[in-house]
Amino acid sequence: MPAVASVTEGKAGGRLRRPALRDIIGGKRLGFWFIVALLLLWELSARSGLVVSANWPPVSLTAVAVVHGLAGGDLLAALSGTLYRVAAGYVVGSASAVILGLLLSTSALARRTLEPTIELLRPLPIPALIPPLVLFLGLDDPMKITVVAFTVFFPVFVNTLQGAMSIESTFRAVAATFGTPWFATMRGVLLPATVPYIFAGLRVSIGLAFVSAVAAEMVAGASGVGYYITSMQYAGRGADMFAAMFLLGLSGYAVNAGFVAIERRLLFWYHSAK
Amino acid sequence: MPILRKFVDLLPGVAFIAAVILILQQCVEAGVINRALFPPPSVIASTLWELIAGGEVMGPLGATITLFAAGYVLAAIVGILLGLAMGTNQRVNDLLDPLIESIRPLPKAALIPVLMLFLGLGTTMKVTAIVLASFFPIVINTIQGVRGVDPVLVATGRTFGLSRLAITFKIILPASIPYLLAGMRVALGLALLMTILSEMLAGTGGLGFLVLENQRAFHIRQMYAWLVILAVVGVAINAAMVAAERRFVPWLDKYRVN
Amino acid sequence: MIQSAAATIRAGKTSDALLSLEGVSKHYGMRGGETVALASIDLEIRRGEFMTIIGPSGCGKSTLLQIAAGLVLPSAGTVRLDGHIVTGPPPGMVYLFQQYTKSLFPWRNVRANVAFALERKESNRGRRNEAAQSFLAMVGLEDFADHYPWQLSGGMQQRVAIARALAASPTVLLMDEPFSSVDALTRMELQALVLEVWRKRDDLTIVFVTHDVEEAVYLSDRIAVLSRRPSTIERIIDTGLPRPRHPIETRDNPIFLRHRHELLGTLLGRADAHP
Ligand SMILES: Nc1ncnc2c1ncn2[C@@H]1O[C@H](COP(=O)(O)OP(=O)(O)O)[C@@H](O)[C@H]1O
Ligand SMILES: [Mg+2]
Repeated sequence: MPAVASVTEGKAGGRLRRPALRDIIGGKRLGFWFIVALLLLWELSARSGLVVSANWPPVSLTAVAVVHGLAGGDLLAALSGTLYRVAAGYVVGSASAVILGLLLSTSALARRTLEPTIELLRPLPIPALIPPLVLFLGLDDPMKITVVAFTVFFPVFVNTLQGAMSIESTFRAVAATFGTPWFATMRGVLLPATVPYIFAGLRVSIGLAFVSAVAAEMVAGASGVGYYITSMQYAGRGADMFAAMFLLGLSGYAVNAGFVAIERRLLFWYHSAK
Repeated sequence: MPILRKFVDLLPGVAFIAAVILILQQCVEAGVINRALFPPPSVIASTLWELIAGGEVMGPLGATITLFAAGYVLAAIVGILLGLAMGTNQRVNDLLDPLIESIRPLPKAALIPVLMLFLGLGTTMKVTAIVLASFFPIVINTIQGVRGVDPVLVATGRTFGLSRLAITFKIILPASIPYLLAGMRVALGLALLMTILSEMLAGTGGLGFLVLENQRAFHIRQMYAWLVILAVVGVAINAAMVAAERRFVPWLDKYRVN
Repeated sequence: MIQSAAATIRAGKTSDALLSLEGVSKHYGMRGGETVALASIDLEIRRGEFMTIIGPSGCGKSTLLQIAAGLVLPSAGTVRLDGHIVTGPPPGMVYLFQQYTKSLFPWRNVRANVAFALERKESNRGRRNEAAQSFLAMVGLEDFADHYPWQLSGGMQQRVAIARALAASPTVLLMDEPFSSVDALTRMELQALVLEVWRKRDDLTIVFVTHDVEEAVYLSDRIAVLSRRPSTIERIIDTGLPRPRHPIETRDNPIFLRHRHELLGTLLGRADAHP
């Protein structure tokens, strides 16, 4: 629609800018320099004594703490423990969500029976689940993995069911025409056609899995980055606390990026068909 | 008979929930489930009734809901305004986008300890935690919505003589609502999560604190009763969101379908 | 009978240019892959007249009209409204989009869509709605005020867009192929509506874009024919058809038929069709 596009192009009038300055801080680089400036401000405020507190270490010390944490093993162990629980809970939660979602899509009665329960459980704020689970599963991995699995379950379930329901009529009719048996229909038709929806749920769940793992570690037990951060807070070791947060954010970023890469590969047919 | 039809539709679901409660009751009474860890549902119900009848529930309930609402509303205001600014102004976007993208992957729960260091254990800390966690999805979805606004709508505003500011609020904002609401729905869950978690970690009151505290003190009946209240709050807040959408944005689903 | 000043103008006795384009050109795109949409356009539109711009698809009609509306800046040349250079959408001029379904606000009902045009002038909501209602009555939609645009048919949506444009009480109305996507009967109804509105408001100038020869001849006082890209004004025709126009009889009028014949010839590029 060229006529439409031309309408937005309005302010074409040449605004004069000094090219040299623009090349250095213009465009996306502006934001980069903004972050650098904030970090500098942090460093200076801590060093100059503007803010004097163990809780406010200079960035440089935090960077050192990152290196030490990774080398010394303390922080590394905490981080890998958290990542393990995130991964385990994620797999358990999403697998059960996909299976239940696909099953429920095949029966209206089953949906009507179970959906109200699911809708009542879904809005429950995750941290509220920790205390009762501690009673049954203790303070360690089983409890935390369950918390993560429970968190991941809902978005994946809702998306799977929605996807399976939306493709139901056409694809199932095709399968039925060819006389495909029930299980083969499930695996060969329903599952692949639902995959884009499942992935949408899985993507949302990554962030939630991290949040719930960290939350569980903060509330109960003595392991993982969540616990590490709170204990460094109590101990007044600000640099170590910020180092842990930095690495946690980095892991979150890496896992997300990895997921997006995998999704692109697996779903190229879906995105190119759109 | 639409009412009858609705009743029939709901019947299996309600029957299922009733059955689960009954079975739990039997299991606890038969000793299959440890009574110390899970009291019979009837006991939880009577504890719950005591809390309600005694008026004990009102304080913590009000505190938690107020906290949630303050944080969520603030996050929505900040998120929407920032999203509009970043979506309509390339400079603002260039400046803030890298910062937002680099903070976004951090699981926001991890912010609470830091905030406790600087802001203490009070309301300021909790509200800040809620805002920091829930404004991200709102900003990001608002930006996406703003970018997706049909140029014809904006040009319509221009031909009718609207200023840039008027176009932003009278045209771009309402046109972005479908995306904006998607962000607000995600933010709702996060805001509630942060409300409860910050109450638990600060240990100064509220529903989240009470659930955790009663568990630690091994007041199991009370813990479950407060948990039920918390679950009801969750369901009610979600229902309120759905109702608010229907009430204030009646054109939404039709618009989406078209 | 006393003739009003505007009626005199419409009778063609004055040639007072209200809107003028001088040496307007427009290039799109970067250096290299450039499209020259408009080569060099000189055009004067008189106060109170019904002017149509016609040309083949893609020749730059929308671009030209959007430049006139101040929505797009020309690469060279100037646009003047009443002597003042146009650099942005001027008050008193409203552009009606070719994509009218997209230009209505889906979050406002029909009445509120029309009232939108009044929001800068009238701060009282009740009075605004009343006025909107009367503009809706003008286009025959008074009973659909509470509907949302997406609940209406294409032709009805176009009426809403017209009512909204009229509500802004413009002196110049720029209409970009307003009836190209409605069915033939609806199109004739809407043509009648536009002529009626234009007749009632003496000082209203309409610049109308179409690629339909019959529509151009039927509606206009004058027709400007655009050439293919890079476009220039190929010729300007004074139709000289009597008013009021009649949907059937006017189309049988020999003057109408002659113009239609000539214009089709010009557009199809057949030299022998010229008189
Ligand atoms: N924003 C734009 N960017 C690039 N090219 C455009 C733009 N708008 C229009 N064009 C080009 O300019 C020419 C004229 O377009 P337009 O004015 O829409 O023609 P018409 O309305 O007569 O069909 C077309 O070749 C079109 O592709
Ligand atoms: Mg056009």
